[in-house]
Amino acid sequence: MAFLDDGLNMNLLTELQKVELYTVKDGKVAVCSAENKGSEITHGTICVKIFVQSVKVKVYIISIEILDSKKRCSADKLVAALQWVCQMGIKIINLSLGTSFFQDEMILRRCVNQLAGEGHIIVAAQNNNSFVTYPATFTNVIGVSASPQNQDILLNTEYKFDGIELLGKSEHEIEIQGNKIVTQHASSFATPYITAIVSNLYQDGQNVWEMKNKLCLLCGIGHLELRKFDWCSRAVIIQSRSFSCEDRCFCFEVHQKYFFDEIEWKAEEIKDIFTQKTADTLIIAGKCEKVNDWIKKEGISIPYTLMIRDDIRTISKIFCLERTYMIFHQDFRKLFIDRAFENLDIPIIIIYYDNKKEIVRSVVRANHEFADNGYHCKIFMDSAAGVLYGFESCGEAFRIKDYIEFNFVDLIIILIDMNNKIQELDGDLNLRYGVSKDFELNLLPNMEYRNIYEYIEEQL
Amino acid sequence: MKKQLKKKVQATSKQHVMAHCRCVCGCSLNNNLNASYGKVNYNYI
Repeated sequence: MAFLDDGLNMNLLTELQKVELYTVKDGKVAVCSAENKGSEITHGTICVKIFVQSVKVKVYIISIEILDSKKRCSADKLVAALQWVCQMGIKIINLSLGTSFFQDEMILRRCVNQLAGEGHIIVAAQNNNSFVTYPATFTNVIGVSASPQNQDILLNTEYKFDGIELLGKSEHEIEIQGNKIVTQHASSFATPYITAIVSNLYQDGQNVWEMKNKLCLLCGIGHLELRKFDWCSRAVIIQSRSFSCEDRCFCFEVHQKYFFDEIEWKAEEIKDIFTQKTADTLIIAGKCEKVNDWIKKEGISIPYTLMIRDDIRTISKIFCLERTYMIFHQDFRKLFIDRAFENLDIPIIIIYYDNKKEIVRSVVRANHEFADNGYHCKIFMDSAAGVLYGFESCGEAFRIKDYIEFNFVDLIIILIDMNNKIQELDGDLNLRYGVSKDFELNLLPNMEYRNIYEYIEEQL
Repeated sequence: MKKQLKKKVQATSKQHVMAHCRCVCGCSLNNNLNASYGKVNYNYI
C-alpha cells in the first residue's frame, strides 16, 4: 500500500521491516536518497504510525514523498505519483492531503477515475474546515474527515455535496522514541485509520465502490447512493430518438451510442463492452423503465448507470437501483424560496435560451474563460442533460448558500428554456439567448451574438 | 443592490495540495510536540 505524503523518518519507524521510499523529481518518481532525518516527526511518519497500529493484515508500505517542508505541493506532482502507483499495481493509497482549488479539480478527477477503473482504492482526507476538497470529494474516492467525538468510524450524513462518506478516529496515542503523544483532531490522522480498516477488509479484485459498501455495512447501512455525476471516463449512451444533446461538449468520452429501438439486436455488443471493461458507465437518456427491464433480463453487469429524463420526478424509489444516479428536469423555484438568492454575496446570472445546443456550446466556452481569469463559475441547467456537460444539479436536500460557501464559487449561471420560463426567477443579471414569444423576455439583453464571458464581466 | 464579481488576485503558486493536519506554520510538529494548533491557514489565491 502507498502513502503519498512528506516522506518517512525511518529512525522513528524501527518497527517496520520492509519499506520502500520514493520521491517525485521533475515529474518522475525516483528512489529517495537515504537521508538522515534525525528526530524530525514528519506528517507521513505520524500517518504510518497510526496505520501500523490499526492494521491487522500483513502489508508492504511504499512511501512517496510529494509534499515539501511546508507540507505543500502542486496537483501535477500528486498526479505523477498516482500514475506511478497505478503502473506499479499498488492497490490501496492513503492521501492525508488534498486541495480545494477549483482549477485542480479536472486533472485530479481524470486521474482518480483512471485509477478506480483499474481497481485501485484511494482513501483521502477532507480539508479541516469542511470545504469541498479534491480528491476526497470524488465518488471514486473514499473521502474521510475526523469524527467529532473521536468515534472509531461513522457514516457522514450531513452534507450531500462534499462527497465525504466517512468520519474516522483521528486522536490516536502513538509512541515516538519512547514518548507517548496524542495526534491532533484532524482529517489527516483519521485517514490512515480508515485506510487500515480498508486494508483489513480488502480482498483481491475489489474495487472502490465494493469497498465503500463493505464500510457501509460496518456502519450498519445497506448501501451508498450516488450523489453526483463525477465518476465517468467512458460511457455507452442508450437514448430515445427524441433526446437531443450537444455531443461535442460532453465531460467524458463516448464509446458508443444506441437508440432504444436498437438494443434488442445489439445486446451481445453492449454486453461485450461492459464485460471487457471498455466503458465504465451506461447513460440512459429518456424514459428508462423498458431499458432497465432489458438490462435485468440480459444480466448485463454495469459499473455505474446514469439515468437522465426531462420530465418531473415520477419514478418511485423502487427504481433507485444500486450504482445508479438519476437526474430529472431541474426545478429551480425551490432555490428561490425565501428569496435565498438575495442573501448571497455572489452574482446570479439567469440566461433564458431557445436553442439548447447553442447555449451549451457558448456557456461551456464562457466557463473556460471564467476559469482562465481566476473565477470559479458554476452552471445549472433546467434540462437533465446539463450534467453531461459538467453542469451542476441540485438534489432534494440542496442548500445553495452552503454549496457556494464550501465550493468557493464566484458566480452562478442558471440556464432556463424560455418556453418553460418560470415567472418568479429573477437574478442579478437576466439575459436572453435567442428570440422569445414572450414580450417581457425580449426586453432582456440578447447574448446570442456576443461573448458571454466578456459581457458578464463588463456588466458586473 | 447590484452584486459585483469580486476582483481576483491571480494565483502566484501552484502549490495548492496540502497536508490536512491542523498545523498553523506547517512545520511546528517537528520541534514542539505540545504545540497549540489553530485553524488551517487557508489561502488558495
